[in-house]
Amino acid sequence: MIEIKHLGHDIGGKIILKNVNLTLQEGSVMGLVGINGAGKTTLLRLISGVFAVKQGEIFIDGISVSKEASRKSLFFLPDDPYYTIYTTGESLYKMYKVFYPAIDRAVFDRFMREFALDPKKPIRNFSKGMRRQLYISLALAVKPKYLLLDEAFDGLDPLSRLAFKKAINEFVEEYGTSVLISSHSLRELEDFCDSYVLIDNQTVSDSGDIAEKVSRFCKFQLAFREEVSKELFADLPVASLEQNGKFVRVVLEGNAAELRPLLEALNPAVIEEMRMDFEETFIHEVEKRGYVK
Amino acid sequence: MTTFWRFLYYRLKSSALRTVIFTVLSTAVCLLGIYMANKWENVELCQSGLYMLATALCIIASIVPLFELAGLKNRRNLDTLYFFPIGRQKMATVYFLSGWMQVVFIYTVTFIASLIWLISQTDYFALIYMLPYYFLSLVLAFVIFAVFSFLFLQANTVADGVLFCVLWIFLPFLAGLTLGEVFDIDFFENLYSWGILYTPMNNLTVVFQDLIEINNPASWDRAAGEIMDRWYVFFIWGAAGCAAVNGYMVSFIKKGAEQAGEISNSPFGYAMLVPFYGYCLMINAGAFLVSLDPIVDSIVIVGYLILMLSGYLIYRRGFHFKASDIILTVIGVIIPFAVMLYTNPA
Repeated sequence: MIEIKHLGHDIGGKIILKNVNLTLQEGSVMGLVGINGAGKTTLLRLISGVFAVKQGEIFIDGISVSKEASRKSLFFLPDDPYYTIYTTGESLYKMYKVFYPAIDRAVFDRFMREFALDPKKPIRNFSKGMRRQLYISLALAVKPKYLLLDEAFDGLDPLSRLAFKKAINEFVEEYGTSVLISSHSLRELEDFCDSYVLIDNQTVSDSGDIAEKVSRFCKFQLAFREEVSKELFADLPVASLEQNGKFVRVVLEGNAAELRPLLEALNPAVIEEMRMDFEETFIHEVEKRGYVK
Repeated sequence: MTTFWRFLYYRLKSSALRTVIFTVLSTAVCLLGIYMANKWENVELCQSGLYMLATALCIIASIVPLFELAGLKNRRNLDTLYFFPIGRQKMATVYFLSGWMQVVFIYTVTFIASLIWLISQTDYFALIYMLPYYFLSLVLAFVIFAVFSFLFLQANTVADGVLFCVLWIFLPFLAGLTLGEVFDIDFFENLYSWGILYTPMNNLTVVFQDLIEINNPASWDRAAGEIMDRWYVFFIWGAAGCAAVNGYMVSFIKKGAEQAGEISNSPFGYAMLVPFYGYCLMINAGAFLVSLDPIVDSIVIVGYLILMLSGYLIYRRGFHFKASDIILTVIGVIIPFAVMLYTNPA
């Protein structure tokens, strides 16, 4: 279990995080979301020991992250990981073997094959997505207990994303790996994360179960016989409303079953409930906080 | 094998190509230098070429830490390196040991090759003195290596690190020269005559060159006498070496990955070096400055202002000067007048 208590951090006097409290349970896949500059990468760097903890505490299985023993079970894949002009997949494997002697060559080879990557080629010629695939192969070969991924889907093509998500799910099931993953691709997170944490205003402003979060909102499409005024919805808990003549698309905060009769009372010609996803929920959340106009 | 030893082995292995290139270059240049020194215009000069070895060692001990630690100036590298399950102290030790082992290897190969060449050429030299020279020169090289490792680590970019190291080479000399100018004391004159980072190596080489080439025990007595007269220099150098190793370890452990690539704010860097160099220039130019010749005065002041502002321009990476930079620059203009008043109150 990763426990973060009252964590704060500043860079050059600028506060990035303050009073962050978070727990990542074993076997959990948690999505780390927030707008650009919210502090997601800083949080991952603090958990992985890249940045020294100045304020608060981080424990990995009860051991402070400043102790090297705590990091033996952890793997951090940064957004833009290390390579030089001479680095190859093979040389990276050797480097990781120094620190993770139990790294599984067969798993590494399997994913390199799956991603169609040549371990002997210099990775400077790889695209960002290919480099990411290589590091994902390394991450999975290390079989860490805790896997921290920064912008994990960045640069991956749809097939690679699928392979990656499948592999993560396998690892969580097989080894009980806990994953903390930051991404702007919330639809991808929704597919395989069981929980989320929203970093906002330099701290954890919301967290919980993704399905439960999504169920807090519901979306309906309505068609009226004639054009209606937005004031018609004034008494409803509207999160957002789009109107195009007689057609209205409304997102309401609350349970669909309870809110549907209220909408029906407005006497629309047609009413249809639409699927709400995590990304839309996130957009409404940040709209509510005033980031998106 | 523990992570420490595996990492040390990995560092040595990954820098093997560089080490081989340096070794070949160093050996080739030394052998060529010794050959040229002895065969100049077909005259048998019987030169041991010790200077070539000393120069090679100074260069190796200065540049190896820069190559070894350059990777730590890149945040992308640190993102990967710092999450590895190895403590910062162990990591610092691995980098230091790996660099130092490369220096010893390159120098030893160069030294042995030069020694074999000398043995094969003539029996004129008292080569027995080469052995103590080898160990003593390595001791001095260790101080250079430690000081450069520490200084380079103070910077947040490779370019800043190189500049810090270059500026610090002349800093003790300049300090001695300036304090000698103000206080007119011989102690400082002695200090600056030994003050450049490479001077002890030069002095050691002069002594051993006499011993090896002339086989004159009197030169040893002379050297011993000189060393006794300047015991404090060795004390200072020893202390500098210890402080540099300690400073290196502390800096490595404390330095945050978030600083990589940022402005180098270390007190051992521009923050100190820019005003130091500027003020030293002004104090040493003091005699010219109050010359009652407005043209000379103007040239000195303009030169000083260009030096200071160029320094702060590099420091701040642009014209984003801070109030402290301007205040420190202005103070420097007043300094020579104050020194003149102190040294010549009438």
